[in-house]
Amino acid sequence: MDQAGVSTALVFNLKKDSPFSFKCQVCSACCHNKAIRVAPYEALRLARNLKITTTEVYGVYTEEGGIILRNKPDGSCIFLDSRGCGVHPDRPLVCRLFPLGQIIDCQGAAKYASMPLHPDCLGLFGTDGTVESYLESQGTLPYFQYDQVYSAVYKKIIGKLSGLKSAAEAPGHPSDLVEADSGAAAPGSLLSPWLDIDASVASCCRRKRREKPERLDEIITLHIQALEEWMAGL
Amino acid sequence: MSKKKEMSRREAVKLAAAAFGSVLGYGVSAEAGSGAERADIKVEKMCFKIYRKDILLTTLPLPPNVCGDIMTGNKLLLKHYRNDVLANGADIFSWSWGE
Repeated sequence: MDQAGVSTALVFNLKKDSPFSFKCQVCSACCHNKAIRVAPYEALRLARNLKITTTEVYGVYTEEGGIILRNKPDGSCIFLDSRGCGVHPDRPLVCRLFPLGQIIDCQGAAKYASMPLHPDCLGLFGTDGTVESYLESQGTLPYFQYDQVYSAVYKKIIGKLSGLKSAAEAPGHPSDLVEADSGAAAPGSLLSPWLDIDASVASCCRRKRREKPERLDEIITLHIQALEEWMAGL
Repeated sequence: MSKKKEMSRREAVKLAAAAFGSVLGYGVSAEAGSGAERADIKVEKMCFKIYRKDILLTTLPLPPNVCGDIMTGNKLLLKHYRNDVLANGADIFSWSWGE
């Protein structure tokens, strides 16, 4: 039976086959005072939705070095308008998951948490589905897929970092210096220019004198390739 | 023409690690890459609470030495016993902190 606006206790041992359903009533209560992280694939989806580049997405809609989406002064999401989410078909993963959260334990196994709702939330909880069917209905699959792809890249970056540490390079040696924007022409406000897929890929295509691909999967492949080539050249 | 900003290779890689770690939900400490990639958690106070719907029935603060054992890699199991025999079988609640 559906329950509206019930602020349930935090439940965090749900599995994919656990009974679960949630019907959003578009009250937008959950679109306030949140720190929504933006992974590279999410920035790319937002950019294509808004018909701008990821460089512009980071410059206009993010803060904290490109890590999280901006909120308006009233605490509402930068994309929230009078009709609801202005980028709904390309909203970030965490917005799709709500009110679920995914937890990866130390063995790498995924489990899910159902979070307490905002007291004003009108969403309807139920049991006429499963966690898995809810995730599918929210279009989370490519987001999880590219999270894994970029997580593998992240682990390579960490490995590279360990290698640089152990190499005990002489500080101040010219070979130890790189241009801050090498590999990408992203704005300086980003924590790392490599977050910016469009800038990184454009830079890579210029170097390789090739056309920039249109398909998202090809763009991401090239982004990762460029990042790996950068690390290999350090 | 302004000179392009330069940084050490390690600094550039460290920033890339921090950026990707942050947006992907990994914790990256200031000493990332030095064998301490994940900041450990520090729990100063924790309570065991039982609710009936939203009504708090029981609260039990855990002793400081128990809180001190809550750290990355450790696991919490919640078991209940009846006549000294484990009663919750395969339904043991399990929770792990961090990776």
